[in-house]
Amino acid sequence: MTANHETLDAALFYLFSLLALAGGILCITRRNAVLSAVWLVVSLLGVAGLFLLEGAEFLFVAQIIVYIGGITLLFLFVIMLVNLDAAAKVRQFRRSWPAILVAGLALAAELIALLGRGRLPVITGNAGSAGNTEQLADTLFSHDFVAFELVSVLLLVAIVGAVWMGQRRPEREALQTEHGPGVDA
Amino acid sequence: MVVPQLLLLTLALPSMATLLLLLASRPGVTRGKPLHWPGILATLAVLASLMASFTCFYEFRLRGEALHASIGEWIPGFGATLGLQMDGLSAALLLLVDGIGLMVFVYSLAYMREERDQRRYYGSLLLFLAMMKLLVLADNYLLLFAGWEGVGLASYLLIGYHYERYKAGHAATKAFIVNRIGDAGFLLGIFGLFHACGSLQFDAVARHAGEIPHTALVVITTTLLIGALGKSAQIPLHVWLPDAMEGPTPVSALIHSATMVCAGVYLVARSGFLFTAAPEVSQGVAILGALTAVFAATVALVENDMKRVLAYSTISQIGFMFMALGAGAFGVAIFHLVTHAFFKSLLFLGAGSVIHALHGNQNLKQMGGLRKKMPVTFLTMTVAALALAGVPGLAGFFSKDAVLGATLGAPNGWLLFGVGLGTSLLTACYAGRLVFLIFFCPPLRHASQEMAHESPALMLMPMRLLAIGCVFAGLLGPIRWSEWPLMILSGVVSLGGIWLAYHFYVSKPAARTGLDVRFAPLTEMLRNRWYVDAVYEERILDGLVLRTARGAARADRHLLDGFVNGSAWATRQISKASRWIDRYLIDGLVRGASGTLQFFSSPARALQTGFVQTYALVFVAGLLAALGYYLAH
Amino acid sequence: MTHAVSPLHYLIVSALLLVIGTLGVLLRRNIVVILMSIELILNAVNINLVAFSRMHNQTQGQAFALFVIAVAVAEAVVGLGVLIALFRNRGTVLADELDLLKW
Repeated sequence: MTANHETLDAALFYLFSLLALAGGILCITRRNAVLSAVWLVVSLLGVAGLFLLEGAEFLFVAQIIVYIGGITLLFLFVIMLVNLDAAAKVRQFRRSWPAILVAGLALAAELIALLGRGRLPVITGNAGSAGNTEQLADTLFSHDFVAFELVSVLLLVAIVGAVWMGQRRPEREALQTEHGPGVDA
Repeated sequence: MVVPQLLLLTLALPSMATLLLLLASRPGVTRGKPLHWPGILATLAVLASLMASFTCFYEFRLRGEALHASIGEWIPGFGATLGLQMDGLSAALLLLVDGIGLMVFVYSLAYMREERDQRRYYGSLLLFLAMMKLLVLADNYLLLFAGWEGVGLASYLLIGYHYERYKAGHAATKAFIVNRIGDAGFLLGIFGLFHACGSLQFDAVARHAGEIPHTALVVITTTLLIGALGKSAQIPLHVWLPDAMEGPTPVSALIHSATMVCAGVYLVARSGFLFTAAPEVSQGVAILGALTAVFAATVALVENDMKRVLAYSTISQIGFMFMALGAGAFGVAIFHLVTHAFFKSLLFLGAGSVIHALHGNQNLKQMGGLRKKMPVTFLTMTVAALALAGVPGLAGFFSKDAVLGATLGAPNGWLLFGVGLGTSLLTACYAGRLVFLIFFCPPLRHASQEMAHESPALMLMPMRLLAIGCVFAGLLGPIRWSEWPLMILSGVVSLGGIWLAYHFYVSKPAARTGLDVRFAPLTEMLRNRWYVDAVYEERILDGLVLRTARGAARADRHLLDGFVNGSAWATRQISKASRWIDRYLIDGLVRGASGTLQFFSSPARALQTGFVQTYALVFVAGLLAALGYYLAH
Repeated sequence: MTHAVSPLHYLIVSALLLVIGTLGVLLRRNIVVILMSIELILNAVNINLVAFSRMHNQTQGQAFALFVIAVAVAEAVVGLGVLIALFRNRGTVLADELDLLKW
C-alpha cells in the first residue's frame, strides 16, 4: 500500500503545486483585475490543498474561509469601487520588465541552489495521535498565547484604521470628477 | 534822559517800526481805507524819533561838544565799534532826515491811500529812515558803510515798489547795480584806510591823517570818491537816478532829492581831513562836480517828464555841492545841501500833487493852466522853483552864492566859476520852464485835465511847511555878505534865466521852433541825455558784460557736462569690468561648485525615483547579492 | 514519479511561489494586482512554515502560519483602504504615476 499511498501523495502534491504556481503566474499576468482575482483564488486553493497534504487541516479550512472567503472578496469589492476601466487600457507592465524578469529568475535559481545544499529527511505519513486542530489549539493557547492576543489587537487596529481611512471627506470630493466617474457609493 | 540812550532811541524807533511792519502777517488790502494803521504807526514813529533827534541836538548845542554813544566793539581787531556820534555835521543831516521825513510821511498818508500794499511801503520807508540815520550817526567808516548799504537796499525796495511794472523792477535793479559799483570803490577805500591807520573810527583816522603816505592817500580818497559818485549820482554813475523816478513820488521827494543822494556829499565832508591833504583829488572832485552840473542842467532843459526834469536837476545841484567840496568849503556844501533839500523835496511833493490831480499823467507837454485849479500847489511849487533858480532873497540864492564864491578860492577857480554861473542860468531856465509849462501855458485839450482838482489837506500841509522853509532856510547857513557883487551878478543871472524861459514858453512859443530847427543835432543829443545811457546799456552792458557772462556760462556748462559725462563714462567702464569679474570669475566659481556637486550626486539622484517598485527592486537586488554571497561561501 | 515527496519539494514550491509573487510586485503597474502578489508571497511563506512544522513534528510552525494569515488580512484591509484613499485623491491606480516619495 505504500507505493499507492506515495503515488497518490505525489500526484496530489503535483496537482496542488501546479494550481498554486500556475494560478499565481496567471494572476500576475492578467489585464483584467477581476481575472487576476479569480486566478488568485485558484492559487489559494492550491495552497490550501498543500496544507491539507501536510496534515494541517485547521489551516486548510482557515485558508479557505479567511483568505478566499474574506480577502479575495475584499479585493473584488475594491475592484468594483475603484474604476479600473481606464487602468485596463494602458500598458500593464513596467518598462524595465526584462531586467526585472532576469532578476526574478536569478532569485529563483539562487534559492533553489541554496535549498539543494541542505539535507532534509523524508516524511512518511502523518503523525497521527490527536487531531491537528486540538494540537494547534494547545500550542496556540499556551506557547503562543501572547502572540495570539496581540494578533487580535492587530486585527482590531486594522479594522478601525480601515473604517477611518474609508471615510468620505467632503473637501476631497471635487477631485474625482476630473479623473472619470469614480467612486459613487 | 541820558544822551547815549537818546541817540540810540532816535535810531531804534524807526528800526523797530520797520521790523514791525515788514514782518507783520498777511498784507491785507488797505485800498481806500483812510489812514490805515501802517501809515499812522509809521508817522508816529517818525514824529517820536524827530523829537528824540531834536532833544539830542539841543543837548549838543548846550554842551558845545560832540555827543557819543557806544554799545561796544563790533568786529574785533578791525577798529570798528557799534557807536554813534553827533556833531554839527551829523546833527544837520539828522534833523534834515527826520524833518523832511516827517513831511513826506504825512504826505504819503494821503498820496498812498489807494495803494494795495501800504504795509510794505511804510516798512521800506522806515527802513530807509533808520539806515540813513545810522549812516549819519555812525562814528566809524564801517558802520557808515552799513548804513550806506542799508539805504541802497531801501532804495531798491522803494523804486521797485510797483514791481508788477517791468520798468520799475528794471529801474530798481539798475539803481542797485550802479550803486554797487560805487560801493566797491568805497569798500576798497575802507580797506586802504584800515591798512594805513589801523582803525576806522573817524577821530582815529583824523589823528593819523597826516601820517598816511601821499600815494596811499590819493588812492584812498579816489576810491571813497567813487563810492560818493555812485550814491550821489554824479558822472559817470548818474544813470540810475532818472530811472529811479519809477518809484512813488514821495519816495523821490525823500530819498532821491534830499537825503540818500546827499550821502556821498556827507561822506566827502566827513572825510574832509583826507581830501584837504590830497589836493589833486579835491581838484578832481570839483571838476567832476562842475561837469555833472552843467551836463545835467542841459538835459533837464529838454526833458518832457516832469519827474525826470527834477531828477536831472538834483544831479545838477549835487554837482554844485561837489564843486564846493572840491574847493575845500565843506560847510558851504552842506549849506547848499540843506537848502536844496527844502526846495527839491517841495518840488517833488508838488509834482506828486499834480500827478495825483491828473491821475498819473507826468507829461509836461500835456499840462498847462493848472494855476487856477490848484492854487496852493501852484504857489508852493513856484516858491520852490524860484528858490532853485536862485532868485535873490530865497534860500537857494544864498547857498548857491556861497558855492560860487567858494569856487573862486580853488585852483582853476575861474573856470569853475564860469561853469557854475552858466549852470545857474540853465537852472533858472529849466525851473521857469517847469512852472510855466505846468501852470501857465494855454491849457491843451487833454482828458486828464478835466478832473484836475486841488489835493487833500494832508498833502498840502507839508508842502506849505516846506515852502516856509524855502524862504527862511537861507538864514541857517554861512552867508557871505562880503561878496555882494557876486550876489548881484548871480541875482541878475537867475532873473535872466527866468525871463528867457518866460520868453520861449509863454510869450513867444513860436520862437522855440526856430531854435529847434537850427540846433537840431544839439537838441537830439540833449534829448538822448548825451547818449550816456545808450552807451552804458548797449555797449557795455549788452556788449561786454552779457557776452562775458554768456561765455562763462557756456564754459561752465561744458566743464560741468564734460565732468559729468566723464564720470559717467568712468563709471560705465568700472561696471563693465566688475560685470566681467562677476560673470566669469565669481559665477564660474559658483557654477563650478554646483556642477561638481551635480556630477557627483547624479547617480544617487537616479536612485530616488519616487516609485515604490524601484525601491522594491533594490530590495530584491540586495537579496540576490546576499544569497549570492551565501552561495559562494 | 514514485519518489517520495520530501519537505524539499514543498520548499521548492514555496520558493517558486515567492519568486512569482515578487515578480508580480515588481512588474505590474496596477496597484490592486501588486497587492494580490503580496498575498502570493505571504502564502509562499506559509507553505514554508507548514513544511518545516511537519518536518519537526510540532505545531508551532502552523500557529505561526495562522498568525501570518491574520497579519495578511490586516495588511490587505489597510492596503486596500489606502488604495481607495489614493484613488480618491489622485484618480489613478497605477504605481508609476505616484512618485510622491520623490522630493
